[in-house]
Amino acid sequence: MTDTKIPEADPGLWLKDHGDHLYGYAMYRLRDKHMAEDMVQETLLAAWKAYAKFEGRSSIKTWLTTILHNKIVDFVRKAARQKLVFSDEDLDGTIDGEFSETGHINTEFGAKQWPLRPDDMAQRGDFWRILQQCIDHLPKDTGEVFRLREVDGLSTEEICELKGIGKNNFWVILHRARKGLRSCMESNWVGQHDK
Amino acid sequence: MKLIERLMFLVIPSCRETQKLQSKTLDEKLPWLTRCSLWMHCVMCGWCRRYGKQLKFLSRACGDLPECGDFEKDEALPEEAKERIVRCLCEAEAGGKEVASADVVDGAQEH
Repeated sequence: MTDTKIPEADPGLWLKDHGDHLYGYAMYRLRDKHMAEDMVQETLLAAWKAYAKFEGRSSIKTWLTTILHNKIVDFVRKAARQKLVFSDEDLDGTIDGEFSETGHINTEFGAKQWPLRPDDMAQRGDFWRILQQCIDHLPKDTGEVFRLREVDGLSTEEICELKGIGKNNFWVILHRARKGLRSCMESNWVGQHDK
Repeated sequence: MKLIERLMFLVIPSCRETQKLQSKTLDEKLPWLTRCSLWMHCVMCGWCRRYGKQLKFLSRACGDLPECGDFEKDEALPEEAKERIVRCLCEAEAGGKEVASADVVDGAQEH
């Protein structure tokens, strides 16, 4: 038992304080204005109805985002059932000259030292914005598989089934996406703070 | 010395292979022997050690994106939608709460 006093449910205040964040996340993930608005409405209604279950272990913002996240994942599970076809070229992902003949990295392509500790980096103002932009810059189908795994948190098996791809393809797609994202962050985020 | 180096290359994966394994290990537990060879490579190769740490950090950050993402500046909820939602909440209040759904206990987000 904790002594934390949980305030009265106030969906109007939640809307005022967190409505824009919830809507922005729904838009980011769904890319549809009306659907995003509906998701926010459903989230606030569900939160209000279930407020008795809120134990105050997380902030209201975290709780509301979790409810919205679960709703989005449910929707994406249904909507993402579209088979993808990747060519061998799509799956390669290696940059010319990146590796030597023996498969060892050529140092000019090696990962640079990032100037801040990762946890400190995430506190810096534009980190999240650049991360979002770098995810958006991934090739369309690669980015979709990446979002399902890393942002929505779906399992390997579930994504493979939804997208009609084998596990080996899945791992190559994710390897490529992560490599692209890391490289994009290095150029656009680390580059800015590398002094 | 050359012979030892060659033997090591047979056991220890190349940087190319290591990068693939570092990504794969974020999705599933690798076999014991593969984890050992990955570890041995990273002990010897600072580039891949750093690459692996950065990959892990970005993976964690992507999981935190729904909560921490900077979405408000891009897309503010339109005023008419806010009004509609307030009306809907008032109607629901007037109609009384229904049974709470199971997916809304705090701390339930899975990643």
